[in-house]
Amino acid sequence: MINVALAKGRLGDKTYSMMAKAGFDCPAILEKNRKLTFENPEKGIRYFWVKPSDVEIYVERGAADIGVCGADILLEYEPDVYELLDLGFGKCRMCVAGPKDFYDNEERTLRVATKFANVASHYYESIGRDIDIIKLNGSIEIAPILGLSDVIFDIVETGNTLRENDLEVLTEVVPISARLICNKVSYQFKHDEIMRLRDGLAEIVASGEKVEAVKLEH
Amino acid sequence: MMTEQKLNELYERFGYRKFKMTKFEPYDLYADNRDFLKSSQLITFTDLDGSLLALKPDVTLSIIKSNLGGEEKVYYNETVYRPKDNHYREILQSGIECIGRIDAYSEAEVIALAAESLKLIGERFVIRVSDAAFLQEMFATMGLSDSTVAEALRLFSMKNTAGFDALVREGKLTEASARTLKSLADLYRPFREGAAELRSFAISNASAQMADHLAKLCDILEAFGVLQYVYLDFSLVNSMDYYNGLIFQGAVEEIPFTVLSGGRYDRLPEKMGKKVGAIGFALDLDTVANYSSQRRDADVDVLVLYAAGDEATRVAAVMRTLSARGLRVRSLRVEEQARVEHKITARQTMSLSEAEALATREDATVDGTVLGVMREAVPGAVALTMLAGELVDHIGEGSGIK
Repeated sequence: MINVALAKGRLGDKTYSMMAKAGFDCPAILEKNRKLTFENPEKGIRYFWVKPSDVEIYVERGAADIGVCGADILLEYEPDVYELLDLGFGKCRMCVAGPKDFYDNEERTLRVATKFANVASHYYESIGRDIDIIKLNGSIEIAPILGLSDVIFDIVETGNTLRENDLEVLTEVVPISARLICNKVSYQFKHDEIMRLRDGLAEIVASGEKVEAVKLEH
Repeated sequence: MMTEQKLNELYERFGYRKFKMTKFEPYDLYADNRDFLKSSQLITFTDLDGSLLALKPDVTLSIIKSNLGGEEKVYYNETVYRPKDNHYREILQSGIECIGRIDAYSEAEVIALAAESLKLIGERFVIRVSDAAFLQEMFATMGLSDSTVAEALRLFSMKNTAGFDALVREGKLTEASARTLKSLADLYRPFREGAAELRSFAISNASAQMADHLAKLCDILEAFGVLQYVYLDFSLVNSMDYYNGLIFQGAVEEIPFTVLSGGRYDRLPEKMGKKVGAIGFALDLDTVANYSSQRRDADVDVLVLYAAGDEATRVAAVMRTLSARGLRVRSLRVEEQARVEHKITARQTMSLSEAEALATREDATVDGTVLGVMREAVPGAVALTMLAGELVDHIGEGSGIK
């Protein structure tokens, strides 16, 4: 039995749809009820919904054998897990963004508002820029507008929110997409099943076929 | 505790000597060998003469320090003090070190003992083996820069094959090299198959020899009867600055973390000026204990409640007999029940007379099974022919004593 942590939201819907297409469907998940875990014993799979940023915790500690989460989460928390596949969806970029007319005065410490304190520190350390991290949990874009920070360090998908608030991408740091992650011990003890699942997903990714995400209840 | 004893017996059966050490060493031992420690953070304090001491973060360093250049096989159970999640922790470790002129046999013996250790912890277990030297040779032959090697190692540790394509796009890796590294990173094979496959990856004489060496290890591990538990896996790269050859890690099915790690670390004795090689492993006993399936679900098996008026000698006799039968018994005055410091969870609670009945019944049966025969009359009774554990199980199921 493989335990799969699905991220609540679009990412999880898409993940389940791809898993189902790869042959690991689970009709129970489509039913409307208050169950927390969904099992298909025939296919040897069990799904459950968790908060997107918690997927890596469930996988690292073995409560889930595998899971799908954004590369941003992996970069930020650096969990000790295997990253078996780039699923190619959920694409966005991790960027530095700021006011359109932003001028970086290098004599001053740069104030950076972000959810990704770890990635931001690593990035600025690598380019030797002294910064002051302001850790926020959401609505990052408002920080430079209110003068809380000089720039923001965040993931950007379409850039619409930025544009509407007179902000723009200043630097693209790293591209982000959804990744299949796996607990390192499960990998050893459920190797054949996990490889079958990974290869099934890899085939769909390689074929370039678009899989429609079913909207699920979570 | 039980596991610890069984491990010690195992190592002694293979002629390993117990290494005992004090809780602290001179600070300089750790400061001079920082590269060989997982973390450079230490708990330090000043001795009465002003010299600086540190609580041991590691046992291996002390073992190598005490070695005078001779052949030695030792084992230990020690607590080490390390930072974990931003706090210092006391961690119980058990392990072995084999020091001297390390040949293929010694390497295989250490891996075999790692396998036997895991067998004591869980039914299903796997040992993964990797060769740090093989990868380093491969990176050198490909002419990778230091920063690319660091990135490649990170990708190896996550089995992130997609990442190698990114390195190709950045012009840091040729496509041919990326193909090779991707298949190596994805490799997870039973040791013998893996070693054979590795021969085809060897791109220099040195790496071909290393692949042959691994094949030889397979034969010895087979003679030890543990080959079927060993897999080749190049994602074990975390401690490549420490280990210079074989690296291995062990896991059991019930525990989601690696519990055993070890390898060949010739650079440490070399740095300390000793002309020996070394290989060993350490087992994280705290993690093992935390995930152990033998979890207690009750404080005691039997809680005997006696009244203030009961004769103390009767209570003593019952306590003596029941505890001698292997049960965990707690006695408590009835009126004190509401005032206990910690709530007592008992599998069965009984009055003094009920307990006496249980203690005196020579032919006590549970589901028709005779539990045990006392060789002496109570209260001197000891000697049981059946395991008390079984009695306990039956009590636990609530079937009661007939």
